[in-house]
Amino acid sequence: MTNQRAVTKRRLTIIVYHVFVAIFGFIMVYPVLWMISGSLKTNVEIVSGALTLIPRYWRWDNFTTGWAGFAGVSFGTFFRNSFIISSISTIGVTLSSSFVAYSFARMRFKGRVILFTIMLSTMMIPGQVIMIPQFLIFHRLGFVNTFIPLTVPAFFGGAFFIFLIMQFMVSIPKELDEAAICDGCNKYTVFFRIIFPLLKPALITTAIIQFYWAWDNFMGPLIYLNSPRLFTVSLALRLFADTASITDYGAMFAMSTLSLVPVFVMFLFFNKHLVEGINTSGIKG
Amino acid sequence: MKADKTTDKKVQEGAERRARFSRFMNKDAVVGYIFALPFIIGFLGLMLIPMFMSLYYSFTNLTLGRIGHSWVGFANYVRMFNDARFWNSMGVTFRFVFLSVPVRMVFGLLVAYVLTRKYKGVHGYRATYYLPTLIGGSIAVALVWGQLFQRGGVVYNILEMAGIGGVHWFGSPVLALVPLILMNVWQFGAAMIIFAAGIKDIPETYIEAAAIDGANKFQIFFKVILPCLTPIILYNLVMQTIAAFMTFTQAFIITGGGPAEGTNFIALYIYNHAFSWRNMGYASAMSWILLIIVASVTGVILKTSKRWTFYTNE
Amino acid sequence: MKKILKLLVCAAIIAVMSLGLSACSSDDDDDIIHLTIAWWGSQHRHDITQEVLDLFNEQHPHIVITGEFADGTGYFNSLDTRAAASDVWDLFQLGSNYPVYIDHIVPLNEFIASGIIDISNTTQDFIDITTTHNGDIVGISNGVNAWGLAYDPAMFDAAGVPRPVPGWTWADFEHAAITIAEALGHWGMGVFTNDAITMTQFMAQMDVDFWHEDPTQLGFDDPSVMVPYFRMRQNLVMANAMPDPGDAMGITDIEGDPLVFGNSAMAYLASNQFIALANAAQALDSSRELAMTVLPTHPGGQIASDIVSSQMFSISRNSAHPEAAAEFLNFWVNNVEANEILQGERGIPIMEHVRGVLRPQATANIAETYAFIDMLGELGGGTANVLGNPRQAEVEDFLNDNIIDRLVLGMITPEEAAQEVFDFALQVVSFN
Repeated sequence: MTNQRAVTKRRLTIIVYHVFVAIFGFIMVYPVLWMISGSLKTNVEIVSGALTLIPRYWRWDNFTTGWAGFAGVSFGTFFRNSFIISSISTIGVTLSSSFVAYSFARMRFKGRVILFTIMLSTMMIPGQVIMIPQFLIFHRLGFVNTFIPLTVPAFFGGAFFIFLIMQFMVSIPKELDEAAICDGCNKYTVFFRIIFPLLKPALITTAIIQFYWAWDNFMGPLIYLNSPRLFTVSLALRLFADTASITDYGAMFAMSTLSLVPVFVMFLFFNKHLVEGINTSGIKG
Repeated sequence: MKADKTTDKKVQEGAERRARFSRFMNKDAVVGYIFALPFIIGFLGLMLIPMFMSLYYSFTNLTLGRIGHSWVGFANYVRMFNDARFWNSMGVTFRFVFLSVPVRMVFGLLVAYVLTRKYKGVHGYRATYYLPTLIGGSIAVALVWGQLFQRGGVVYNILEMAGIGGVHWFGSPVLALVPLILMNVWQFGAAMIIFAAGIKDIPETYIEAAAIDGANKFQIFFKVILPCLTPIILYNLVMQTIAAFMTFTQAFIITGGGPAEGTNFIALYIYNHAFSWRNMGYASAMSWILLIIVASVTGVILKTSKRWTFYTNE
Repeated sequence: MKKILKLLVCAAIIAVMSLGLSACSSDDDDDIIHLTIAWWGSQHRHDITQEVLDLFNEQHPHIVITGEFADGTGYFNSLDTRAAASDVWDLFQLGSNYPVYIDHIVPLNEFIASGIIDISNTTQDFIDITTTHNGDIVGISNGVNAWGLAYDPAMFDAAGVPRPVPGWTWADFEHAAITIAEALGHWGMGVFTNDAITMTQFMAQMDVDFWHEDPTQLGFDDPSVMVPYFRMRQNLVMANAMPDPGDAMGITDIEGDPLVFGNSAMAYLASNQFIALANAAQALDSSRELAMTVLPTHPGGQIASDIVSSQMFSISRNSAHPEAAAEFLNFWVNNVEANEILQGERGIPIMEHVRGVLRPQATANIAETYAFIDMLGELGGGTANVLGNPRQAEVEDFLNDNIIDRLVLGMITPEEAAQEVFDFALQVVSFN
């Protein structure tokens, strides 16, 4: 009897747990769902602030009118620009950060501690401080209104990612390096043949995070890109709210929804790796 | 014969030189610096030099679009001292940071803890809770958020249905901060994931030992899990605080800093001075003060952290 | 290793591609002149301007013009960046703030003298108002307009308020707006898109200039001249006759004005914007009929508002082909076919022969703007070359986003508002 009661009680706890977590989860994603459903609603229905997630009339037109973009520049262009910038900066950050992480995690040399400390402290420098002079430098070099200011800096590593990859590298046994060196590898080939492939989970985490940072980046494109033909998706979305025409909320939500698809798809594919790649042991010192 | 010998010697010399070269190249220091090169160049070119430039410009009247600039001494800093808009921005930013960061951390920690249960579907839940963070930085979400909280928007209607009466969020400089804070809290996913990873790393034996000693779940959470997580809490606290000080996009898109500058975050105010009004010199000065403030706040957190963080190993 | 190499190659290819995208148009043919032109405006403006560029290229195959467009803020950000690098577009659109960019403008006098630009079909008045700076003609107006109010006569009638007539006062205006709000539960007045402009006009009707020809000074030295404006502004919002800051935030453009949706009875605008506003309102409800009237004035003050140039295209100093740019300017203002495409969207054309063709084609809403400008002419409105200041944007932002909000939320009194604006403006211009 008591056993039975314990089982029912346990079941009840599980049900309560699921109900509670699911409801709260629903509230969490409601704004996103509302946006997606808004992409199929009429302007009037959106502005009325209706709670319902099912559109009264299904307006697929929102996607075509939205996609058409502004004055002949369609969202095809904006998506292409975002893809170019995000991919290049993702490749850049992933490669360069793993190089630097190898140096800091595996090599023992004079100045390493200083460099490492500097790197950690760069994480704490507010972007605003260097934003203005960086802009002026790129400006003087004539790189404003090109993708260069948005991509090239990624090739110099990101402190956050260097740290993240280092934490992961610590978990790779040093014996592997030593064995490889006995087999005739040098310290360069050890990195490329042994370490780099083993870093996969950390590299994937880095790539995911950097890709969506770059994809969502708003201030960078806002400052550096002037021609609509070079706009990224996030800049283009703002045009909906800004250009002097009736704000077409339906079209805006349709394009907003589309803009989230790449990030979302990537997340679904790599969800598992995201947690795997984060190793907190280092934080604990 | 003679010629052969010299070539032999040359070959030998060459091989030796190569060997010496390769030994040199394989020194830890050389490998280390070569691999760290991207960071070193990036740090100098994209951080250090710009920072010095910025410091210099903060003492000039550099104006974008106007040719030439001149040294104005501390004029920009004096102006800042008397600039009511600057102080207001600082106030707004501090309010935002102190209200949003702790709430966000508490949510991240609680949800991470709740989702460590080994029930079915926990993975799915975690993904769901992470979703807002994944897309939250997007301009798309900011546009939607403004719409949700606008008069007659979804949140307004819900409150009205609940009998509280519609709240006109963007009609008051105090209330307008609330939707922005909520949006920040909503994105607790990054903190959650790091906490989750941290909880996963806590040795089972600790918890079992506490359970054997008769501790209940709350006691286990507060006496075992929380102390073990303090280093991660510290890390999250520092990073989230710095990020919150930099908040820009939400205010830029949703409120434009208004009403009555109630959401005019310092990042937005600096942006406007630099890029809308072209006062690069003044904006540089403000960004330096911001740097000093953020550094001090971080410093205070790190200083006091020694009293409340516990390191398990060693 | 191979994978990494592949990645690197991919990266290199993409990098080259992106560079190619941003590179300037390459000159395949030495005979072809490439020009760039930029403007701000609405989606509709982007489309029709592009059409005119195509038409020009058809008729002048040796000149290819690439257009760039943006919303107002984006446009000036971009212009400022380019100005700093002396890399301004060959032709660029400017409004009354052109003195800020005077160093980057080539005067047109020489092109007019040599006959590349033909101004025989307009009057000296029109040339003067637009665009004369110290004797130099810095541009040819894209069209003229004047500030006024659009209103819904039916709502005035429903609320039992007399319709506005030329010569009505600000007191009449305030009374009408509040009465409509009380009677119909709608706002009497929408938004003043830019309170700084409205207040400048309010002061000009009292013969006070906000700005001074000397950019380090203000045109007045007694803040109390602003108090009546601020008092009216505060009354209107507190009586729910105008949107509060939160509601005003949602109103970003003329086609989204509450008057379009029947939520307010009046809208403040430049006459060329009336077309877009009325079209938008009728798209929602074809029975709506909107009208335009002059701005209110002070008792005994000047009745008609000044006719001003809405904007112009100027030729930049760094242009390699100023003659070709001038050729386009001539086409832009004089070619009938081009102006038939534009239909006076930027304001009423200043060329007699163009107006002669467009006027008979005008729809009811466009005709209303012609009638409005005609009326101003009959009422004896002046033509004004409006003063500006390089620090204008900063002062306007302070006025619009700080002072007005605090004022209408009851956080400061009109007197405090006036003093704060005065002190702020005085301090800011001292940095010039």
